Amino acid sequence: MRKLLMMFLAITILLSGSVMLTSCAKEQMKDDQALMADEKAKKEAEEKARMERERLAREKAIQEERLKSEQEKQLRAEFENKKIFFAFDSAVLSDESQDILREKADFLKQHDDKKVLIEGHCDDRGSVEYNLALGQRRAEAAMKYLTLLGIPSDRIRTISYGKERPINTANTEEAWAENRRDEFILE
Amino acid sequence: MNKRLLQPIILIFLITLFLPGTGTALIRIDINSPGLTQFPVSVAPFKAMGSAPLEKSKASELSSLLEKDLDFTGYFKLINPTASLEDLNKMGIDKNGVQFKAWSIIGVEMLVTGGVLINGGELTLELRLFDVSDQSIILGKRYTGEVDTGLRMIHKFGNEILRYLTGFDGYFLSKIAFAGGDHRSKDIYVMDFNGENAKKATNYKSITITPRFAPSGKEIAFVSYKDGQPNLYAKNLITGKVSTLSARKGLNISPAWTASGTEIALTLSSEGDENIYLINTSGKIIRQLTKKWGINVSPSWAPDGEKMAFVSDRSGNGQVYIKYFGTGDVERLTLEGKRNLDPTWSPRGDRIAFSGSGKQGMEIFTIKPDGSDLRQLTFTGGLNLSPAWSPDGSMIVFSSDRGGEKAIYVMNANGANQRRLTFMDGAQESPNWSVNLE
Repeated sequence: MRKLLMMFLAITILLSGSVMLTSCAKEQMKDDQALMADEKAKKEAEEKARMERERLAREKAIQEERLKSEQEKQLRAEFENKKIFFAFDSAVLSDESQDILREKADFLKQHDDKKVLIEGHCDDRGSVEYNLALGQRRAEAAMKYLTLLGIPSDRIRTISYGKERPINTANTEEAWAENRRDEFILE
Repeated sequence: MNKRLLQPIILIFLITLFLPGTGTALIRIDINSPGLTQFPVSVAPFKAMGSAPLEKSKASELSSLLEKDLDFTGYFKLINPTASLEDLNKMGIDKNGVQFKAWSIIGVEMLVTGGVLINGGELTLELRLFDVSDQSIILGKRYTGEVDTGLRMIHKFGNEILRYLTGFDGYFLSKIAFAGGDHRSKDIYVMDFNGENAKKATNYKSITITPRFAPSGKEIAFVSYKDGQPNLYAKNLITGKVSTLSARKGLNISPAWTASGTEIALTLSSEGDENIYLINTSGKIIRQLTKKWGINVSPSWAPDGEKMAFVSDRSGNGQVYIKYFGTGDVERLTLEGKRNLDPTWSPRGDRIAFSGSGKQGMEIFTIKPDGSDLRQLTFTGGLNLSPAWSPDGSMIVFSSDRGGEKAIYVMNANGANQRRLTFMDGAQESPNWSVNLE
């Protein structure tokens, strides 16, 4: 009898012991798992945040780039679209022309990798040949002024088109005034 | 002699059959006189001399072509031969075959007869010019060549008639070059003196302008932007070869060949100001011809080569000056008008044509080289530009926008008979007139 009891006790103790052991382990495992899950979540959240930051930064950079190139385009467009005009039979630079040339000189100074081609044009009312010569004088007048403002002459080219490339082919004073011009092309 | 050695495809043998007749003195036409009386002339229908079937139609074609040439000059009042009292069918072609009274009675002063013979592929054309009141022969020629060279023979005879009347060869075998196109592109064209058969001489899809015939008529100098800037080129019209005369930085424009054809005056801007230089046909600068600040452009040589007209703005606006190479003096020629441009010296040496400001626009004027006898020839109020003389100095070709767009017009040296020669799309400008191309 006693032997049986003793064996029963032993087994019970053993069993409960192992039960205790496994439940501990389970507990431990549960804790470990929870811990791992936490860690994982934490890491994911961080990753997400980081990606978000990077995305925002990239977008900002793109926007800035876009803004800069818009400005750049605008400046460039202004440079190329703003012409200077001349009185009939004259290659003299008006005050307004000189102001515009100053703006162009500034642009060229800020973009010292750029060169400019100055085209000289005339209205329709003289001979083909005389106007080729007058157009050349108009282009060179602008070139001389730009060099006075500090742009080296090797960054400037000139060409005359005489009366061959009018903007406005009407036979009116307005049209003729539009055609007596220098145009500036970035190279 | 091997026929193939003869250069022209056409074989034309000139045989002067008759000496110029005696009788009335040679009639001289004063091309500058403002009122030119026209000579009443009649071209009798040419006769078929043989039995070839083509002869009748060829005879009719050729007599019409001679009438057309004579009519172009403005010197002649062409009288219809059917108005005469001659029996045209029975009429002969030599002195004995003509009833001169039948012509003088209707006022004809000069009469042309012609005979056409076609033998195989060969055409023989016999032509005579008679002084009707004197009943004598003035000119007699016989031409032989291929059947389709009849027009050339007519032109040659026409040139002889003009030589008799004016002392200078006619221009019926000459050509006119001009620049045609629009603001996208312009090319050089060459046409007959009367505006027919215009053909493109360049095809660059660029701006190609201001053609100038070399004295031989076989080359044309022109300005083109085909290589990116205004350079001066020359095209040989026989070989088609194009050479670069000057491609210096800036302008290489307004060419003017010397009489020898070996040198060209042109305006360069590569040294700073725009001055006129003399280059050889290899492009090498021989001499600087003007040394002045500002614009110096549009040179035109006097026929003796010792003077040059050109445009300068040294007094404020474009005016015509003359440089005398003997003394080195430069004198202003045009004293009236705001601007005077495009001077061109007559081959006769006695007048300079130019384009000057009229009340409005630009008009064609002529003036004596000493500055006297200024005459205005056009009065449209529009743009009449770039005059050029015929090789005999009797006609002036120019561009005018009187019809809307710019086109090529021609007139007598006194401004009479202004008529349009080109009827193309776009603008036609800057005409230049060659010598007879024999």
